[in-house]
Amino acid sequence: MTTIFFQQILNGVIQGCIYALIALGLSLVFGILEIANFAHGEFYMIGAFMALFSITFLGVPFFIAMIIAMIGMAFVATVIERVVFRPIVGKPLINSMLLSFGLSTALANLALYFFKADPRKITSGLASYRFSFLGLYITGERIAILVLSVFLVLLLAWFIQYTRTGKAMRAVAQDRTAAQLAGINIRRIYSVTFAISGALAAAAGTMVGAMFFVNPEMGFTVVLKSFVIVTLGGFGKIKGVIFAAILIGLVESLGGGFISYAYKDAYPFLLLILLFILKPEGLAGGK
Amino acid sequence: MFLKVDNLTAHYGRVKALDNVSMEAPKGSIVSLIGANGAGKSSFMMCLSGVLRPTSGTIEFDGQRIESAWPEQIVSLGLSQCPEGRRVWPKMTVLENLEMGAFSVREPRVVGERLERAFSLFPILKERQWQLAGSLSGGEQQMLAIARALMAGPKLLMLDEPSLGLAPIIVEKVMEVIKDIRAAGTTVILVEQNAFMALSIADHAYVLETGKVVLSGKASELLQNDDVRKSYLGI
Repeated sequence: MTTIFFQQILNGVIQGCIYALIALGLSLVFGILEIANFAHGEFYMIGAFMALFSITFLGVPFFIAMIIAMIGMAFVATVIERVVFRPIVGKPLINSMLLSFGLSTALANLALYFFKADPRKITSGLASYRFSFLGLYITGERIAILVLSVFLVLLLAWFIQYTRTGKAMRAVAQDRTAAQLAGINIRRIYSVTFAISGALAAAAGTMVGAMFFVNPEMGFTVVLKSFVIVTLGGFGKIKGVIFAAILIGLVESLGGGFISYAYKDAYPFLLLILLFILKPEGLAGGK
Repeated sequence: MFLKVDNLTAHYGRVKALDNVSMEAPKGSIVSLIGANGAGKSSFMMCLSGVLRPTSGTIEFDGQRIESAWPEQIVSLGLSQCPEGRRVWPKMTVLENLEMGAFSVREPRVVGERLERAFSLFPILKERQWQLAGSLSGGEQQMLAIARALMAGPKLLMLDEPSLGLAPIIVEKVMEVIKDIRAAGTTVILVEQNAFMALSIADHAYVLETGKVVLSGKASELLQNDDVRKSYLGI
């Protein structure tokens, strides 16, 4: 019983780290462009396919495939920002909600048309290495995913805190007009933000594609869960979002292991509803 | 002419904010814009900064037309603005606010020099450089906002209501700083509701009413003008 419990905790933390990658991108876009991007799940899905095809057709190793997917998706996300979202920056939120929802449906169906619905798996070549300690099992693949996702989250936090572009991103998020008056090119900041958000989603998609499956519909529930995470963690709060992501990973994993796996996708939303009732100010408190 | 604005018209949605405004500022002068709330003073500044796109009219700054330039290009040309309400980034430190003010500057050495100058102009900012800007008092935030605008190394500095909500002793200090900035060779456009103060340090002044220039001239003459005295000075 306790072994199952700790095994589920471990799985939950890994899942949570992946959620953090997805939710942080969503949160950045929301904070800086004031856009709710419901197509973010498709960034994750397309990223996963990019990695899958890199391995299948180019024969590159898992890590290289992930980097190709990240770069490719950063580029695609930048183009989407420029063409689809740029015209509605500064307009009420309903614009971006409708637009991105349409984009999400379009991208998922295009993927369905071209890639077909059968679930495919990304082979990392690391799944066969199995380690056990204290009765817990972990594969080399999951260790790699845990390390990579933690590394990427820390890299993002460092980038935003210390680099010139990162500081400019915070400035735009806090006061867009003041940022323009200071000579910050906000259009460039928008591009960078979407590039980062796309790259992180692609990394997450690659990891999930290795642990589970890649298919054209994989983005739908993930984007909703990410909105739950961003709501729980507080908009624009990096630490809050990471914390909420791991919490959601744990809730899913423990709920799936001990209550019923069939409702795995429902637990995050139940948690959100519960929190709205019990702690309406959000986990981190304040605004 | 260093700054020459001709027949500038601008809208917020359908509302006309500026109606054929023309003005000039010679190099090294202090020019004041006075007028009531909603007269178009801030809209005028936002047009000059490229944040609000004018519907028609031209702006010529230092020999270049800038009415359709991007805000960051305008800052690089040497025109920077300290906006109304300070608008410092509250969750960034004082130092980060200043660094971002010099976003258009590529050489670290120049940024360092300007930082030195900002700290010598406002020693309190040096003491508080590691504090979040949101934790500063109103007066300190105003100093930070002015210092941030100076970090871009402007040839022309626009100040929008720098005295708003400040204690009289701080207002004195801010006015001293504005004189220092001009003495160092920077042209200043000063928007103020406190018309007496604005007119006493300016060379020229323009009076705006509902988006139009209704009066302009030497600041010393406007101070003696009966309409101005009645409407804006309360005398």
